Amino acid sequence: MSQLRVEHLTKVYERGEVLALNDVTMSVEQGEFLILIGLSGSGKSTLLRCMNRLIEPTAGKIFFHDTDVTGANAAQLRLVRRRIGMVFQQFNLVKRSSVLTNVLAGRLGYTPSWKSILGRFSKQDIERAKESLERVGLEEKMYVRADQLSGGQQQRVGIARAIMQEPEVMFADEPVSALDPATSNSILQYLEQMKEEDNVTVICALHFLSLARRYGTRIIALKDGESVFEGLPTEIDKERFRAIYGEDAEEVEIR
Amino acid sequence: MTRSTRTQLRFPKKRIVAILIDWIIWAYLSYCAFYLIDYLYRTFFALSIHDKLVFPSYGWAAAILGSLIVAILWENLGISIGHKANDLVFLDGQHARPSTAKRICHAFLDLPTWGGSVLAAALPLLAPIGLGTWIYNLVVGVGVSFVPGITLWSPGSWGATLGYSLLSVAAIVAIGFVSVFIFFFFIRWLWGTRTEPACWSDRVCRVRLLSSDEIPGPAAPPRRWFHTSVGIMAFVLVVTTFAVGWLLTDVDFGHLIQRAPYMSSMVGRLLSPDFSSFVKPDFLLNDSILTAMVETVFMALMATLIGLVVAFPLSFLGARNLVRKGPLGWIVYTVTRAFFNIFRSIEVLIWALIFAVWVGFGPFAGVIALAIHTVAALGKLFSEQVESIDPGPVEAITAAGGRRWQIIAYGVIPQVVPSFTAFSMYRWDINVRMSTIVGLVGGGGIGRMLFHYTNELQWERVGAVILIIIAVVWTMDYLSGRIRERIA
Repeated sequence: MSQLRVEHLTKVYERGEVLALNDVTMSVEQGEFLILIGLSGSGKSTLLRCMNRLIEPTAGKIFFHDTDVTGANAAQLRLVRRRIGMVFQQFNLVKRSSVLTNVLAGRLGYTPSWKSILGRFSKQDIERAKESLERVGLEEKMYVRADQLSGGQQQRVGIARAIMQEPEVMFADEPVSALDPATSNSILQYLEQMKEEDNVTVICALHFLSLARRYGTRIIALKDGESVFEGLPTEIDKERFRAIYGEDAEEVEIR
Repeated sequence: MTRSTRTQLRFPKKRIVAILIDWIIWAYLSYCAFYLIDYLYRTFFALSIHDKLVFPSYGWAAAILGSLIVAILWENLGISIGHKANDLVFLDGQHARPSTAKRICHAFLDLPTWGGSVLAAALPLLAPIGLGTWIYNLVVGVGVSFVPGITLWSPGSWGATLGYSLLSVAAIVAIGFVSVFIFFFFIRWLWGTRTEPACWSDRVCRVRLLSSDEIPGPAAPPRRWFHTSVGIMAFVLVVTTFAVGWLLTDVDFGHLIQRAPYMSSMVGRLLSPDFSSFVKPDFLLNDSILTAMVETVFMALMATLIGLVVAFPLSFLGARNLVRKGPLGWIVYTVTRAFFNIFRSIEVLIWALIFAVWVGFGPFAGVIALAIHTVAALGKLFSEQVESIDPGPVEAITAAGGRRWQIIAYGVIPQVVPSFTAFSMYRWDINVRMSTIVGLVGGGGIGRMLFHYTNELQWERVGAVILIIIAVVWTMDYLSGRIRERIA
């Protein structure tokens, strides 16, 4: 049984009457590096956010192992969410808080409410936070405020925060769109490392096809909310590229 | 993402807001005009002080209806303030502004459009009331009359009464159906449907009302304000308001200068302050300026602290982005915001009056009065801050499986701490100033001394108290300003 299944997922944004996702069906196996590509507004972010119900889907079903995510109540949903790490395009760190606090926030799904409100994390959690910061090479920045870091460092804090969840799956919503090419590569390498070492499944929305070819084990392309291509990175030739990105598109290399 | 249709005005919400704005503007202008005419009459033609222009009973209805008609004409013949505020522009087909003839035609078609809408909306409400009156008349036995003075049916046999009663019940049911039908079908026809998204007058004249960002082609160059109807109207409104305001509030600067000599002795005494009871308690008041001032500063401090402690948790209930979606969340949000707005709109002095009666004269009454107003004012400011946070961290902690409390503690509070602190300091500042005043109505502190000395016309002592108030307020202002600078 696959790890994550999406069946006939549809999302309509009521306000603008926009059809963001139209009958998307897919399944993801453990240990994949799945890449979602498509133009801005093709539904990549919506798809990711529907899968952990940051956005409520309009129709369709989502299964995480055998849990029905779409039908889960608040408590069940939290249990699903804490097994799915997520990194964001804008990093989504609390800029005024320290790096350590930001990383510990990834552990909140495992911490009882009253303890975390008093700011009391267990010794193991603080140790875990140090380890995950070491993993992304930021242990000496532990007590620095998050807004003192560069973009690439902030995204690494975001990854460290996700590692705190000991995730089975990582969602990455255009994690490198706000970063320069060199930093982009290193961020994706951290994700690839999680996949290699911990057998974490990675689902990553990306803009650049060259990065998708390099890191992806499988690619799903979205266009206007519909899945228009599913296959290996090598299968995307010029023709397919134009079908996804439009007639006038030119592929840009990024190394 | 595909947009299924071009967003046109299917539901005329903006249009309704626009006509309400224009209607209010013209109603206000007509009120001003009547006031000015009345003023002229009273000044130059009136025979006695009781002689003034009397508005006929139908005049109000005529003025209200007339201002609606003028507003409709204005919306069509120029760009009205209502349209400008809602960013609406009439367009002819895809391109240009409609011709003058077309716009006049559209204006006249708009009159029955709005009239019909108001009637269709009012009928389900008014028809039962009218019918109820009719039945009441029947049963009680006054007779039936549609036009005053002409009786259609006088009370007679029981059979006739029963018959008419049944008839009227049937009529109520029928009118109910008709008004529901009119409301749903007539309104839908009038204002267009999903497939034909334009109102009746627009369809007939082939004119469209679009928001300005949907207009194809380059934007028109901006014109000088006195060349636009919005600019001219704004100017007229300001001038009219100033003129009417001047007359209405008896502004007379000549009077101010004429009566200046009467003030000289008082000002002289104020400027030679008497500090004899600065430390030594005043015999009558049993209080010195120093202790009263300390009391005042502590009143402000207590009020701010109590206000802060209560407003802090409440502000999260009054933030739209944090309350749950659904009816319960909406109720919590609305009740909290209504509480803030209502309690904030009641001035501290009124609260002080209430609590001076409730708990007796003294600083406690002043503290509660200030604290209540502080809760409402800070709560509103805090809620707005919470609503304007970066949603990213909230999203991240939600995605990590955090509970609501954890999201607030780790995603929201760290973001709002600086602004909450700055607002609290600012409020303390205001409370120091306000606490000198609440004493006037029984709130204790320095205000009590001020009130006492003013009543006894001891202007030298009043001068001393005012100087001390200025010194303290100035110091507090400076200190809180410095602290806010540091935090920001």
